[in-house]
Amino acid sequence: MSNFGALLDSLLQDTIGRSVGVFAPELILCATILLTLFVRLFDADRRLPTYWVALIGSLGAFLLAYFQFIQLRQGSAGSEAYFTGLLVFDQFSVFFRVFLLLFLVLVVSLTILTGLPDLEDGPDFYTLLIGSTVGMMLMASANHLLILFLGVEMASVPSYAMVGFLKGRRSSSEAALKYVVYGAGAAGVMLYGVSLLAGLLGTANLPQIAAQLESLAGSGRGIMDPVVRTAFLGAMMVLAGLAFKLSLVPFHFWCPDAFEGAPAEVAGYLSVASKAAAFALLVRFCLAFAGSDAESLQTLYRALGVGLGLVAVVTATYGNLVAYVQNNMKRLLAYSTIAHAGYMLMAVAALLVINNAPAGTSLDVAAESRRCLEGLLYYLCVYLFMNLGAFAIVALIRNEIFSEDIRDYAGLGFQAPLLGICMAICLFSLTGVPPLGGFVGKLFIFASVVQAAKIAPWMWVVLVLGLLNTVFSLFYYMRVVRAMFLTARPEGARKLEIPFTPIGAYVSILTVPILVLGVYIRGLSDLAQGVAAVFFQ
Amino acid sequence: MTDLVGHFLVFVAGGILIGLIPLLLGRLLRPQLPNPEKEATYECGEPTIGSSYIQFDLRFYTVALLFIIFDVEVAFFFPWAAVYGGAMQLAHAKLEPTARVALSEKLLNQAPGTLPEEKAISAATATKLGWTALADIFVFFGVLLVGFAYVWKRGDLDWVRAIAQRAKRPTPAVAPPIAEPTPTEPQPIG
Repeated sequence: MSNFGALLDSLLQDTIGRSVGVFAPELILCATILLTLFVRLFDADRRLPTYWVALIGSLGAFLLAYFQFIQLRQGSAGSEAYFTGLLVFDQFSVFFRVFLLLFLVLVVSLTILTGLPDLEDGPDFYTLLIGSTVGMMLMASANHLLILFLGVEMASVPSYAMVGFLKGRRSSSEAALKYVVYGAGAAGVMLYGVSLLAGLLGTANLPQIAAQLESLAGSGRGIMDPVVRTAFLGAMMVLAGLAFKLSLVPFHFWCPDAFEGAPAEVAGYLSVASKAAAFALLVRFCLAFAGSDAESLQTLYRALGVGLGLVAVVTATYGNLVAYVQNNMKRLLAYSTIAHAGYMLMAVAALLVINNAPAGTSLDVAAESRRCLEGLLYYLCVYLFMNLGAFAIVALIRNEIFSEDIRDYAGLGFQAPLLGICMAICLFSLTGVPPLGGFVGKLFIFASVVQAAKIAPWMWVVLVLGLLNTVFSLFYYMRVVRAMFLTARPEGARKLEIPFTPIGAYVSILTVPILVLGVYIRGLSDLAQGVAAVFFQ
Repeated sequence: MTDLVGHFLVFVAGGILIGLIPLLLGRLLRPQLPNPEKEATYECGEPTIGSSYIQFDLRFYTVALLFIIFDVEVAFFFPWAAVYGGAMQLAHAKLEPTARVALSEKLLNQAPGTLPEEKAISAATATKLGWTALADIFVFFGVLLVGFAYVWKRGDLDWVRAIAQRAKRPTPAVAPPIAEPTPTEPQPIG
């Protein structure tokens, strides 16, 4: 048998025998997309509305991913590449799979409750929603620069359409257009960066990038060498593309407009899912570089970490300050989303600094790096519930009083106590008030920043400003709570009547985990530690 | 780095100059004799007909979208067809050894005459490659066709969309059908 025959056989064996099985949750989602189209194609959507298809499909994928996660936790903590090294299967990627699919199930349920897409547009909407989730799952398990780009695009393009989903609304169309233009620009920059990196390093495989860079830096070239510098220019361009997805400060302009124009459900989806996937990708990308023993590279990576930390603090400060003057709930939450991206980026910055600590450090580098990642994952999990909760309540209230203005929220806390209390809990948790989940997440992240500050003193600035931000943010979140509970409902205002089943139950389901995660910390914390052990043994 | 930047700057400056010099030369050399005939918009020697700021029908975008989708699809088909064709030719068991080597070289992208005969692709391998490729393209094309059928069914391809949609999908009537024949009692035949 010739070489080619053996190659073909091993490729088929690898694809059909293993990769397709590992990739099954994504494939279930793809099948769900096709099924929603078929249901409409054969006019079966009168009897079987497409949201049921979407809900069942995403539930199935979620359960499968969950089983994969349990299986992986019992097995080894290693990672294996599949589809000829394009994707990677480890606890980290499966954790994000479970996270994103759980979120998808919750969002689909929310759209059923609020009736966002009507019967006619249902297949369109769910196709876009599930399609972009598949893209985000690809982002979380990317092992190759090409998949990095494809994942980001696959997640972004459907979101553009979803932002402009309410046809005939001027603000929606404007928001979608803004998002598209920014997104296209960011994608272009990112692709340029990818091509620079791949061209210079001769590989696009993430695990090989670190080794290639090290050999570049080790072969007598200093940091000032053009080749090394161009490689870092490429890395910066990729980071700029990711910063767009994360709405970090110089790239945040799209975020408030897109969120204000989009339906609240879509805004909630984008604020959590696309951020989480982008953070997963950011961690993967940064760790592909980090872990070098060369002194000059370590200095450079530490500088990058401090730079990310400063960007994080500027992002958080900007988001929190601008949120003060907002009267539109979705806009306020958009700025709050920007601020939270800043907080979470601090964990990544601390990770980069700690992971590239100079040789003689007294820190246990692996353990501290694990704790940085643990903080990020914990925060993301709490963030899922509190941010989706806030957006869901905004959507539910909009359906009743047809307004998203904070001033129209006056007195709503007494008309719908359950909704008001849940909203208050979500907002308190977003601030980071002690017995709630948001506090624990912030605590973990700030603890990592303290550890990083022992290595890079600039991180003290990040820490102090981050803490101050937490205090500032209290005031604008409180404006909403004050409007809901401390002002009387004006005469003649629309009444808010929310039945307990199913809406009240749904909102409670979103709120309870925030309370639980604030008190029972160990479960998720251990889980996150285990996931982080994939990178740091 | 400075070398690279220098080249880049020279390139940019050169690009700007090459654009500007003819305009400048023209401005200096040409006689200034404006007349209406000369100031008219140039359109391949023909007098212009009306303004070019006309409104295009928005519905052309459907055509454009469809074109892009199927254009990209065909772009994907070309390399596939080249490989598939080669594989199918190689799948013949009775192929001459020299022809087999030549076809294998083409398929493996190697220079002619460099592939030893024992490394040529065998008929069995080629058949397997062919079937794999066929399955791949069927999945790809099938998914595309489902999307196409969906768009067609939704009426997004209709030229006059609003009317076609109204005709196709009447709003679901809650009221019972009008012409429900009530069962009449059989009349006794007298």
